[in-house]
Amino acid sequence: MIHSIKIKGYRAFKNLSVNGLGRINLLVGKNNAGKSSLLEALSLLCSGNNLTALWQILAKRGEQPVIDMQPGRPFQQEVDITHIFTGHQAHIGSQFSIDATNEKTKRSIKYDLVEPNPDENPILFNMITSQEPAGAPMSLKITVQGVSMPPIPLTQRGSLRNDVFNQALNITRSTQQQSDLAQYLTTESLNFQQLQFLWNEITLKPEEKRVVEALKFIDSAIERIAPIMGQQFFGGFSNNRGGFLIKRKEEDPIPIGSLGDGIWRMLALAVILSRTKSGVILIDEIDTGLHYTVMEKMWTFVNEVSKEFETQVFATTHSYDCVLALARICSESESAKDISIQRIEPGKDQAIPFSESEIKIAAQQNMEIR
Amino acid sequence: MGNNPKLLLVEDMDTQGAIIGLMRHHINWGNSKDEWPILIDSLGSSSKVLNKRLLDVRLKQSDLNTLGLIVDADSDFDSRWNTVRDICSSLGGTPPPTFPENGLILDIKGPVRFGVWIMPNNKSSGMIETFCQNLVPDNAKHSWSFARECVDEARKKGATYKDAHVDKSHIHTWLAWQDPPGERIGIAFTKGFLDPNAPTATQFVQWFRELFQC
Repeated sequence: MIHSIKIKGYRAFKNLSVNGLGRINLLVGKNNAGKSSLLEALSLLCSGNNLTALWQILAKRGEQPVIDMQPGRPFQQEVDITHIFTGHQAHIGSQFSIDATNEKTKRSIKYDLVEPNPDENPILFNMITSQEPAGAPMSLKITVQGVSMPPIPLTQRGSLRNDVFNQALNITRSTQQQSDLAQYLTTESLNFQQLQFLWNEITLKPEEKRVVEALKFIDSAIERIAPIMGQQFFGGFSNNRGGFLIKRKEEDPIPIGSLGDGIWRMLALAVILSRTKSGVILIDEIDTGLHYTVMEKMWTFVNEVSKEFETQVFATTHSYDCVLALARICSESESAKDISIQRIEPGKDQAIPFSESEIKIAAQQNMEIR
Repeated sequence: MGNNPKLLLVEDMDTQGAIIGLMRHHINWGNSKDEWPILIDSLGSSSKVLNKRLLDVRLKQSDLNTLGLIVDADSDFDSRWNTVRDICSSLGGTPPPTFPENGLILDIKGPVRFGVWIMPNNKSSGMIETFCQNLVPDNAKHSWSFARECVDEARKKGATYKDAHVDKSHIHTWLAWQDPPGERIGIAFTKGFLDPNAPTATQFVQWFRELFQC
């Protein structure tokens, strides 16, 4: 379990320390304070040399360069790595690092922009020069636990190109541990394909029952849920809310999309929590789509499942109801360290930590800690 | 959820009412709680105001820039000052050797301005009611001394007030004879029964305005 994190040079964090972390951590703070950036940093740290997390973060934010389509040249998607460095400055020498301290071990990851050197990674360099005769202006060097990967050449636009990314992923595949990847639930939740994929891992297992229990927080009449196949081959689901049927008490099964947003969000939350064992789970705006009356049950569920599966949860919120609901499951004991709230403030070097008993006090006294 | 960056913690509702009644004469106070220039929170006892753990969390409240504490000295000023001194040290401040008569404003760890006033006057035993008896105007001195005599006389006739609360009995007896009778202390300022410009009040108002920069 991560106890503290130090981030230097990632996005708005020139030098941020976060201490006093617990098994469940709720990140609060104003808009633009960097709550989501902190989730991203954790995602990068957990992903190690697997570039998938980086690609997903940049693509989700739409950090992609405008590319002139040139005739005869195959189109490749790109992600712009400029913005992950403080001040949006990407040049040789730019770097960021993320360090975490666990009980016994330390984890670290560092991204450096370095002079391009074709000898270090000839296959990837050839891919760049085949489309851009000027070659790569710089390379991205990722160092995990002090061990550097061969630097990955970037385009003239300072971006990572899809073909280069895939090839780099292949080169490092043998050393990647898929299970280490943090589960990252964004505000958009998951689409049905992602959810069905995750469902495969819990189907017919006790975890499946847990998911139904979680759905009952929102609609107590729900009895069963099951994935359905096939429709996508006939024109596809019309939106992202398909792929599952819900059976409510004394009713015929109905498509999950017929129910509200809260069910979909809770399904994503419950499936992710139930299928992750001893890893890190990142949830952006955990209260999205949930009525305040559901939140205490939601936290109880998160708490129980994360304890049982030894996962560490980092979630963000803007909602006071969400903070209050978390306070209700906190202990008054000063030694209780399972849950923390961390307030991120723009430009500050330290997140402001609240321990369990402090969260309790703040809630009792109606203090504004967001 | 109020998010007033200026917060004053007091022991009880009487103190809260008295401070608002007094300060309303000196600064623009507003009517609803949302309009108050300073949020005054009544916690119920001096031990809750002077609770190190509570204060630690208070100081982490978002956007807080000033925190003031008002506590009663009660029967033993030195003992209360000792408690305040410990609190100041634990918050990272260096308390002065003696408590300043014009109220304490102290640098503590972190960005928050911090100050303490010990009722009635930062040197004697007493409470908010003791502070208020010094604000009884000169033209009411006769009825005031008669109220004191009555309270003493009532004791002989079986009144059960505690010695420690005699100042409360004095002021509430006196307030019972005003027009309208029996108003709370806060209202006594509004109605003009108590003088918001008496020297004792002036000293407090100076501390308050300097601490909260208002």
